[in-house]
Formats: sequence, C-alpha cells, structure tokens
Amino acid sequence: MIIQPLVSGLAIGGIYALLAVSFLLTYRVSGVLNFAQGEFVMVGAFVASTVAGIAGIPLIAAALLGVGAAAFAGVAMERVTYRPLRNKPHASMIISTVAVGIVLTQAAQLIWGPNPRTLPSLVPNVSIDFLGSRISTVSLFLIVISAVLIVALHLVLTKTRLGRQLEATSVDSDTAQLMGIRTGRLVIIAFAISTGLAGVAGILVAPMFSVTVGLGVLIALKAFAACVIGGFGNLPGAAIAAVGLGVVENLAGTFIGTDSKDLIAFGLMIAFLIVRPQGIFGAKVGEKL
Amino acid sequence: MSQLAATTSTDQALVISGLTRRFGGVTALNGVSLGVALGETRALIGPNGSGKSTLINCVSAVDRWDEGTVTLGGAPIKGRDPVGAARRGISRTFQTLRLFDEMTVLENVMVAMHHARGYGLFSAITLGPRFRKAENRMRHEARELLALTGVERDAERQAGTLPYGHRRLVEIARSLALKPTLLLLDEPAAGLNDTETARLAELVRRIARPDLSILVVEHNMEFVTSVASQVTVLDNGNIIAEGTPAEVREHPEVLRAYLGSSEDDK
Repeated sequence: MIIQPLVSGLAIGGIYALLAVSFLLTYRVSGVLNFAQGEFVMVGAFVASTVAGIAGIPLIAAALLGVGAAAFAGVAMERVTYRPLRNKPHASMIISTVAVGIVLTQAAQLIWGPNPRTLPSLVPNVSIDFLGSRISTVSLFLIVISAVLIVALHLVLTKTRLGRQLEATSVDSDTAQLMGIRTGRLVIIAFAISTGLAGVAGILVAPMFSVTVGLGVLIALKAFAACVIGGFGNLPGAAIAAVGLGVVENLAGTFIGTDSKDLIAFGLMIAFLIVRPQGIFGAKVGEKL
Repeated sequence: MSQLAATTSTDQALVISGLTRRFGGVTALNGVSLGVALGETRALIGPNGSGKSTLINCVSAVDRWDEGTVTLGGAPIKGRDPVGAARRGISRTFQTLRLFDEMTVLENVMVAMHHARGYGLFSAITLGPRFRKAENRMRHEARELLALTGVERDAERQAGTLPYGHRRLVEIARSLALKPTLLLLDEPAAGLNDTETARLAELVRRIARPDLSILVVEHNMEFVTSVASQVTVLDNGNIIAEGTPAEVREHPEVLRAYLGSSEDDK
C-alpha cells in the first residue's frame, strides 16, 4: 500500500531535486536566485513536444533538442539580462529574473497557443509488480535519470577543475580572475548547465501532466522550498530535502488528501524560514540575495 | 624632483614607464617609471598613501591608469584585465588575505593552475585516463608548492580555518601555482611576528629564480634588506630614491619622507 505513493513521491522528488540543484548552481556562481527557472522547464517541454510532433524524428532527439533549447535560452538570459545588470543592486537583478520568466511565459503563449500539448515518455509506461505493489516504469525512469544527473553534477562540482573554478568564482570572483580564471565564461557555463537541467526536468515531467505554459511554475516553487529546507549553501543537502519533500507531500496526498500536498510543502518552507533559516544542512537564505 | 628612469634593457621583465593614475583630483601615481629585471627581487617602499598599492593594482591589471605603459617581457599589459595579466604570468598576493576560505588549501593552490593541461568533460565524467593523469599531476604539483612554503600538512584543511601565518604561506604557494614570471607580494609580512617574518624572508629568498622577477611592497625595512637587492622609494606618487637597501636608508629624501610622516614607524 505504501510502496506505490512512495515511488511516485521519489519520482516527483527527483524532479524537484533536479530543479533545486539547477537553482543553486547559478545562485552560487552569480549570486542571483533565478525566478525564471521554472519557465525553462516549460521551454524544454514545449520544444521537445513540437519537435516530437514532426514525423520521422525520434523521441530522444526531440528530448535532446528540448534540453538544448532550454540551455540556449539560459545563455541568452545571461547575456541579455544578467551581464548588463551584474554590478547593479541585487534587487534589480532579481526583478529582472521575474521579468524574464514573464517574457518566456508570454512568448510561449504566443508561439504555442493556449491549448495543452503532449509529450510521450521516453520509456514505455508499463506497470510492474514490486513487493506486491504496482509501480510505473515512468516513475522509475524519473528516479534513475534525476539521480544519475544530480550525482554526476555533484562529482563535476567537487572533483574536477571546472568545479573548482566555479567554486572559486562563487566565493570571490575578483580574486578568481587574478588566478587567471575566466569568470565570465564560467557564469555562462553555469547558466547553460542550470537551465539545461531545468529542460531535462521538463522533458521528464511532461508525460505525467500535459505541456502548458504553467508547467514549471509549481515545480520551481517546490524546488525553491526544498532549497530553503535543505539549506542554500549545500547542493546535496538541497537535493536530499527535495526528494524528502516529494515523498512527504505524496504520502500526504495519498493518506490525507490531494489538497494537503501544497499546504504541507509550503507550510514546511515557512516553518523553516522562521525556525531554521539556514536549513537542515547549512547556509542561510538571503546571504547572497 | 626628477624621475629616476628605469634602465630599459632586454633583461627587464617588468617595465613601467610614465605611469600616472588619478583619482578625481588626487594624483596617486605621477609618471612613475620603474623596472624589475629577470631574477631580481626589488622592494617598493614608501609611507602610507604614497601610491604603492595603486602601483600593484595597476601592474596586476585590477585597476587601469591614465597615462603611461606597463610591459612584461616587452609586450604591453592592458588595464582592468586581471585575467589577461594572470595568464601573461603576473601573480600577486594581497595585503588583506584573499584565499578561497571555503575551499581546502590544496584546492586553493590547484585553482590557480590555469596553465595546467586540461581535459574534456567527457573524460572527467567517465573518469578517463586523461582526467586522472591531469588531476594527479595538479595535485602533486600543488603538494610540492605547499611543501616548499612549509604548509603541506594543512593541505586537506579548509583554508579559512588556518592560523593567520599559515594562510599567508598558502597564498604564496597559490601565487606560485600560476607559474608566474612576475610575482607581486603586497605587504607579505603584515601581521606576522618576528620569527614568522624571518621565516618568510627565508622563503622569499628561496623562491627567487633566474626566470622570476619579484616586486615586494613592504614596510618592514629589516625584511626588505634581507630579501631585496634593489629598493625603490615612492612618496606622494613620485619615485624619490632608488638603490640598494643601504643606499636608500641613508638617502636624505627618504629620511625626510619617513620622518615627516607620523604614520609609519617600522
């Protein structure tokens, strides 16, 4: 009885986690919380669904194009809004990310119209027996892909030269430049990876819902809540909190009622902001805001 | 006071000529010319506010300047281009320490190795041989630099948790990781006690090489005398004396500049 909601919770938690780490990646390097993050989820899903609709193009190619489009849109955002504003007050930058989100939403509305679209899953949707419960292959696929991507990102950030350079840039960009690190280029890379991951989240989550302009909004808010709960300074911490959040709200949805899901997620976020603003694993929200 | 022009010859690594930097109505550097030869350790001294920090900031391209040129190995350095300067072999330390406190000591040193051979992301993700080889080499070189500066035992510690004196040494190790041709040390002995200062002087003499120019800004004359063969004295943005430490110490202009200022007592 509990296995099925648990697996679904892990799946949606994996999506939240993907978005949470994508949030933190640009947040740490650029110091900006990108409130347009959710819109890149939608961009990835829309582009993939459009390309997938063209006869003869395999679904995987459509998915990769969707991810590429989200990454490209992220780089464009960095060039057009982040770079010119980077020495301006932080409030300007944060407001600009909100504006970018609205622009992307409206642009999508114009391009794709008001009717929801569909995107098939990359794996066939089959129910399989697991310890007496029926669980779906789509859920398992979501869990595996998000886990692999998050672990890979964590390893890149902690074990490679790119990771060290990103870390140095996020700690002290001026000093990093004096070490010969091209910080401008690293910020672009961070945006590309970050919004690309949001695109992946879009392609993974789209088959569960339908593709609409609002696809990423709630996911991004939940990912943000997970960052608050896990702690902004800690990428694995935020990922773990995101998975936990997905499981908790899904169990609540099953045993208390669907309406309790969002209530629990955001109730937890508010509780953490008040009682433990540094999150479970570390750094306080707002230090870099 | 006329400028003492640096002798420009082919063995000059760093050549600064006619460098002027104004901040509003204040002229921080007034047509300063100075050279540091390959293999030379030169000290730059002067009372507070004499323009030493401005000069270091110009040479490391953190700042820009209004007139004059800075060349390294004959090619000009561009103002406000710290990445370019670093990649040309200009490395510096800071009066106020600027380590990446959240990173380990070893990572701090490795991050400065921009010259090291890279590897693709594919090689990194698949833990390919290129990745492992390049990473191992960087790690090895970083440990050697930490051993040279005497802080190898702190390698795995978070830089921010180290005692002050050790952090100074890590910063020097990091500045060497750039494989510099010009090393700028900005008041390296600031905040160190006598024993630590003596040890630092010994280290600066040890890192001197025929293919490295060192320009050290320092107040502590004892330290300057023990590391530098040549001293340039700045006062109010002008060079007022140049020579060996002994010559400079006796120079009337220098005595006047120092005795006339109440700030500096070292």
